[in-house]
This record gives sequence, C-alpha cells and structure tokens, in this order.
Amino acid sequence: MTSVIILAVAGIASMFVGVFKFKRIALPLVLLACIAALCIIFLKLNGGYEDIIGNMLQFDPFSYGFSIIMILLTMGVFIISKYYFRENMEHLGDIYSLFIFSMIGGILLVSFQSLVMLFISIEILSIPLYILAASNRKNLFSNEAGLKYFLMGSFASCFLLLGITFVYGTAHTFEMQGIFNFISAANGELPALFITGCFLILGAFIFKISAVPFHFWAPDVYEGSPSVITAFMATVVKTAAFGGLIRFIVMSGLIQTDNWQEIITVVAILTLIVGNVTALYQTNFKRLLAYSGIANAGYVLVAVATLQVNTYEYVLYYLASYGVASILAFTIYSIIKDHTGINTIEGLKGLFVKNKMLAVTLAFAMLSLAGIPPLAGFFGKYAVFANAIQAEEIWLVVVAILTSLVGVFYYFRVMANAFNTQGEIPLVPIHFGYKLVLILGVIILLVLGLMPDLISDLIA
Amino acid sequence: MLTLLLLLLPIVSGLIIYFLPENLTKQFALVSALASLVLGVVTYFQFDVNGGTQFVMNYAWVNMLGIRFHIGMDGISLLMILLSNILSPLIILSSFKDKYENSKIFYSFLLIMQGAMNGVFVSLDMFLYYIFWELALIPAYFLVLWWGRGDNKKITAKFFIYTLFGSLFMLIAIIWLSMQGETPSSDISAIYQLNIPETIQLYLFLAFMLAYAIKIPIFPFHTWQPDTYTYSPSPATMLLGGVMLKMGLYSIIRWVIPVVPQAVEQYGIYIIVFASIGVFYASAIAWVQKDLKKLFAYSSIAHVGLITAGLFTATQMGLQGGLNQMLAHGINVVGLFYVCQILFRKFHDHDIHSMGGIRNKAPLFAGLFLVILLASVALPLTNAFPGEFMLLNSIFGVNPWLCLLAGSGVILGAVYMFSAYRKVMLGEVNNKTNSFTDLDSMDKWVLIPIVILIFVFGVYPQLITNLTEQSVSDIILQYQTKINGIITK
Repeated sequence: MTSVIILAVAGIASMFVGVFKFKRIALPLVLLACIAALCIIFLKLNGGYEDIIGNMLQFDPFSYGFSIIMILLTMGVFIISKYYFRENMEHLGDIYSLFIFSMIGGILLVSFQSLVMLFISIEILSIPLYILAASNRKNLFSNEAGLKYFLMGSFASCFLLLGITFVYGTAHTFEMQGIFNFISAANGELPALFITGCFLILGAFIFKISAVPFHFWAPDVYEGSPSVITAFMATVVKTAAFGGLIRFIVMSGLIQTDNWQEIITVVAILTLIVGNVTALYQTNFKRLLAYSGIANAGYVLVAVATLQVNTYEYVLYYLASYGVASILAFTIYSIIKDHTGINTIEGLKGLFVKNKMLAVTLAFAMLSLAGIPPLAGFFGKYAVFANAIQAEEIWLVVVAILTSLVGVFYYFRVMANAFNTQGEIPLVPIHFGYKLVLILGVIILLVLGLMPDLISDLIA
Repeated sequence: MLTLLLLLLPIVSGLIIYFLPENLTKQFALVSALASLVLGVVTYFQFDVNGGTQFVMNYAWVNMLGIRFHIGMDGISLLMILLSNILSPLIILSSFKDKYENSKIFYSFLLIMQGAMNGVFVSLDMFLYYIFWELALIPAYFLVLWWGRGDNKKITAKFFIYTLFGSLFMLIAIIWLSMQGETPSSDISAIYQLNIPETIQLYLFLAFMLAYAIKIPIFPFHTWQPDTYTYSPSPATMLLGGVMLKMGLYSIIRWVIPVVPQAVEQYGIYIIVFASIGVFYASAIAWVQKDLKKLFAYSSIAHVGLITAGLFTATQMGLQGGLNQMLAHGINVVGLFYVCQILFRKFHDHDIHSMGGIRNKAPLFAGLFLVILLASVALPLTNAFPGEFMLLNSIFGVNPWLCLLAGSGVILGAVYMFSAYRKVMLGEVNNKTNSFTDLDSMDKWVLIPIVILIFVFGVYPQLITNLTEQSVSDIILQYQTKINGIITK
C-alpha cells in the first residue's frame, strides 16, 4: 500500500510541477517515485500477504509480480515521453501524472479482493487513458481515438457493472472469498444469473485486453493516439488487465467450474486467428503493431484457458517480454515518424543504410515478437505452449503454433524491409533518452532470453 | 570444454567481425574457421572411440521448465562436427573471389550459422537442440534473401515458411516429451528413458519427421529445395547442402530412432518407400535440367533420399553407411557447387547447353571436376562408394525391390552427371567458353583439398566407421531393447 501512496503523491506533485513551471524536475520526480515504489515492493516480496481496506485489496506475490512489471514498463514509457512531448512541454507534468494514476489503477486491479474494488480500479485505469488518447488536441485522429476509446470503454464498464450486479444478486456478496464459498457450496449447480454475471465480467476483461470479438476499437485507438500513449496502452494496460482476469478466475473460484474455460478457449483461438491474419494485410506499421498486440493477447489467453498452478509465472514472463519488445517497436516507430513522417512498413526500406542502430534494435524487437530463440519472446511462447500441453490441450497449441507461423511472416517482412539496401531514409538523430530505452530494451530481451528463470525467481 | 569452444568460437567470431575494418572481414572469418577446424582435429585425437559420450558439460539452465545446458559428443556428433568444421574454411575460402555487399554481415552470418549447426550436433538437451536448430535457420534465411539472385523474395519465403512450419511441430513434440517425467525435463537421459505408448509414438514420429523430411528434404517435401539452392549465393548453398541438411539426418539417428522405436519399426518402411521413390524421381528430373546448379540440387535430393532410406532400416549397416555417406555427400556437394560458382563467375549463368569444350581451355579444372563428379556417382575408391554400398546393402535386407528402386539413383546419377560433364567440358570450344582460363591458386586451394579428402575417405573409410561404430551400436542397442521390451511384455 505504501508504494501506491508514494506513487499517488508523486502523481499529484507532478501535476503541480506543471503549474509552477518546474517541468525539468517532472521526469526525475516520477522516476524516483517509481524506483521508491519498486524498492518497497521488493522489501515486501517475502513478507507474505497484506490485506487492507477491510479485505477489499490484498497484496500478495501475484500482485507484486504484476506490479513490478507494470512499474518497469511505465518507467520506459516515461523516459521516451519526455522526448516525445518535447515541443509540447507545457503539459508534460499532467501527462506524467495521468500515466501514474492509470498505473495505480493497474496495481489495484491486480490486487483486488472485492468486486467493488475491481470496478473502481478498472475505472482508475481507464479514465486517464481516455484523456491521454485525446491529448494531442490539434490532431483529429487523436480526438477520434479518445472518443472511440471512451465510448467503447463505457460499454465495457456497463457490462462489468451489470455482471457485478448479477453476481451480487445471487451470491449476496462482493467479497471474492464469499463468491468462492458460494461456488464451492453450489456443487456445480450454479444459478444461471450467476453464470451470466461472471461471463459479463469476463466480457469486460476481454474488452480491456482487446481480444476478439471486442477488439475493433484497438487498431483505431492505437493508430490515433500519440505513440507513447499507444505504447503504454499496449503494454502496461494489457498487463494489468491480464493480471485482473487471472485473479478474477482464480480468486472467485470460477476455476473449479468448467464453462469459463470453453469461452476463453474460443476467444483465444479467434484472437489468434483474427489478430495474426489481419496483421498480415497491414501496410501501416503502427496498425501492424496494434494487430500484433491483439495476436499476442491471444497467446496469453491460451495460457489463461489452461490455467494451472504456475501459469501466472509464465503469463508474467510472456507479458514482460512482449511489453519490452513492443515498447522498443513503438519507440522506433515514433522516432522515425517524428523526423521523416514515414509510417508505412514499405517506407522502412533502407533504414539500415544510415540508421544502423534503429534497424538493429528493430530487428531484435521483431525477432523477439516472432518468437525466435534465444530472445525473450521465444521462451514466452515456449512457456505458454508447455503450459497448454501440460493441460493436454494439444489442438489449442497446434492452432497457436500455426498462427505464430503467420506472425513470423509479418514480423520478418518488417525486418526485411528495414534491412533492404535499395531504399533511402535520411539519418535520424536519436536523443539520449531514446537511446537509453533502446539499449536497455535489447539488453532486457537478451537477458530474459538467456535467463528465463529471472522472473519466476523474483516472485517465488 | 572443447565442446563449448567448438560451439562458441564461430558465434563469438561472428559477433567480433562487426568491429573489424571492412577489408579484414574475409581473412578474419577464414582464420576463425581454420581455428574451429584445428579444434575439431584436436578433439578427434583426444576422443576415445569406446568412451561413449565425452567432453560433457551439464548445468541446470531454466529450472521453470526443466531445461539443462547439456552438451557433449559421441562418435556420431564428432563426425558431424568434423564435417561442419572441415567444410567451413573451404566454403569461406571459396567466397574470397566474389564481392558481397555488406561483407561484414555476410561473413558474420556464415560463422553464426556454423556455430548454430555445431550446437545442433552437440546438444544433449532437446530444448537446447531446438534452439540451435532454429538459430541456424535465421542466418540462412537472410543469406538467401539478401545475397541471393533472381526472384528471391518468393523463394526465400517458401524456404523459410516450409522449414519453420516443420520445426514448429517438432517443438510441440519436444514440449510433450519434456512433460512426461515427474518433473519437466528435456534432457537426453530423461527422454531416452521414457516408455511411450505406441499410438502416441506415431504422432511424435509424424511431428519429428515433418520437420526432418522438410529439412533434408525427402520426396514429396522437397519442392522448396531446388530453387533455394539454385538462387542462393554460393557459400549459402554449400552450407545448406553440405551441413544444414545433415542436421535433419543426424536428428533421425539421435532423436527419432531411439525415442520412438516402435513407430520407426512399424512406419519406417513408409519413409523408406518415399525416400526410394524420391531417389528415382529426383534423378529423373536431374536428367532433364538445363541449369547445372539445379541439376546438382536435384542430385542432392537423390543422395539424401538414399541416406534417409538407409537410416530407417535401423540397422548397424544402415546407420554406418548413412554416416559415411553424410560426410562424403557434404564434401562432394561443396566441390560440385564450387565448380558451379567458377563457371558462374565467368559466364553469369549455369546453362549446360551453351557451354562446351572447357577441358581444352582448362585441363586442371576439368580433371578435378571429373574426380568430384566420379565421387558423387560413387565410383569405388572415392569417398561415396563405401557409404552407398552399405546403404544399398541395408535396404536390400528390408526389401530387394526397394533396393532396386533406390539403386536406380546410382545408375541414373552416372547417366546425368556424365552427360552434363560431356556437354559442359568436352566437345568444341564455342564463343562463350573461348575466354575461359584455368584455375588460379585460390581455386586450387579449395578444390585440391576436396579431391584429397575424396581419396582419403574413399581408400580408408575405416577413419569414419571406427569413429562411429561404438556410438551407432549404442543407438541400435537402445532401439532393440525398447522394441524387445515391448514384445516380451
């Protein structure tokens, strides 16, 4: 809880930094707060469980693990957004604070213990995002993105609330423990209203992770929003939503019933197929990344559909590797877009000729996303497949493997274009902050790939 | 330690090369490849043929999934290592006269590919093996894509999708196997101990064989191969044909025959049939090729088809012959493709019919080419003869008619090889070949060692058979025990 308070204070302070024209200290301030929060979490890692606000929240190894990943990813986003918004510095403080608030929503979402807290945390997570998506006020696409995200997000919230109502109406409690007991006591004969309620809640999560069939908002919103915000949405928000989803399925005892598994399996298969196949036809690099985000949600859903004791470690690993690679890709996209206006995949031709660093980093990101050993993305996929095979869902793995082959194809197309020597892209200057993120990202991909135990050791 | 060095030396030099000046890259790559060769030879002399698996390193790596960093060599691995490390310096030397754009990346990829292939041959953990297997594919993909000629985008895509498609099913099989013990483990000792139900063995067998049938390639999965070989840059073709396809053959010995023995016993015959048909089919198609490099590509399909058929007899004779022929085929194929490259440098195509009379202009070249050609049609006293003899012998034990079918490749091989040789080298000098000059010292440095190797292994095949005998009989023992174990139950 202390870490959440520190972050919240930093968020508020960052807002005032904007008001009092101390914008230079905004970045160090939020970074320091993040590091402090991380330190506190690390200190508590072995301290067991912490219940607060009348059991509405519970901080346990599960939520610590997800929080660490989210905070680290957000720090990356912070560093690149300083340069991204350098011409529009007046709002930097506000943007940082919105990021922080959204991230706090994420931390609460992976720690909720009561349906009320689930709703509140999803709202805390989303509302800053609506503002952020529309933060480029002069750009029509950004406005469109904000509005679209807001409308769709509201729908999802309605589903969620309706679901919570149904569950409360039948189980007479908001507490996860209470729901757990209710399901155990029902001996497999659950009221239809309860099941409907649970599915509505699952639906809201499926919206947040942008899985098929609730994925249509994602490409438009991703494309319209400023790139750093897209990077944030595609990584941190997705991590939080998956954390919440797994927590809901496990804590509510839904895992003992069988209906949910079929639903998630179907959603996973659809997401894999639609996400990967649609990505194949994209010409815009950012839209490609959006669909790759949808496709990657599919792989995590494969793990969720075959949930077992250790699965959340695998999911965490997968999300970390996907998050780092995506932030790399979005950073490179925004560097190139900023200076040359290029936003298509074909336009990347000749990147290697004068921008060796960008091209090589892009190659690392794409190889990791495509799941090529020994980068982190490969172990992520391996762990997910291993998990599904352990649950004897071979066909699900076959689908996942076939679609990942499609994935390799479009990721490699990006790379082949970048290393094509026939095109011409002028030398693009790279700011120090960008460079830092790029180099760190590549190192993390390599280290995670060579020492995959790192994350499970972290939260063990 | 030697194993680790063999593994790391090429990969590390492949990375160092980026920091060297452009004009030193070739030389550095050659030095690195020669150093690997020296290491390989040192290993050969330190190796005890009856000592089982040696030079082992075994550390826990990923506990979460029970993966170990486990490498080591038995006779079979060492033979493969020798093959890859003998060929690498020759291949790199063969590229010295050609200019490749971005030569740093080019040589770096060649070296990394060599390292990854060494990794495949020494890995004793299935997961580690898979990593190297995939790692070898990535540089190959870019070598073909960036330095290939013709419509290489489509060709590379086909090559890449085919091979990756196959290996992903192998990945499922590997994960499944590693999940069978009490704790997950993909280590060779754990995998060899598994007692797998026969129905599941069939699925595993199919998953593995899909990967290997594409990689080797076996008829009818060969369609990517001729184009890829023809349009790749010469060193990549040599690496693909000389070493990379041996990954598939090696894997059959290491991971298929001992792991799913019942399936091999029951269904191996189908592979033998398909491979034998492939021998005939590829030979027949090679006969009508107009492009010399494509002809060699098809002849390679015929040769590896024969090896595959021999391996699936799962006999001492078949495996020994297969290993013998793997080494021979690697050496010969590099020679043949280098001949292509010499012609290509001069004429910028490989059109058989438009050449002629080169022997009058270049007697030394003609002589060396003839020796390599004779070796590849398995004339006695050349390196391919003992292997091919043992292979056909082992197939005869399964079914004489199949042996006839597979043996047709030898006869047809002589026909199309000699007719190609006649058209290219003999006859009258024409306008095109008029300006051809004989080999210079660089070419001699590549072709003469190949010819020497051809005779050494042809006259004294025990060099190979002694090395692998014990390891092969271990594999066969493993296979036999598992099969008999089931029968006595």
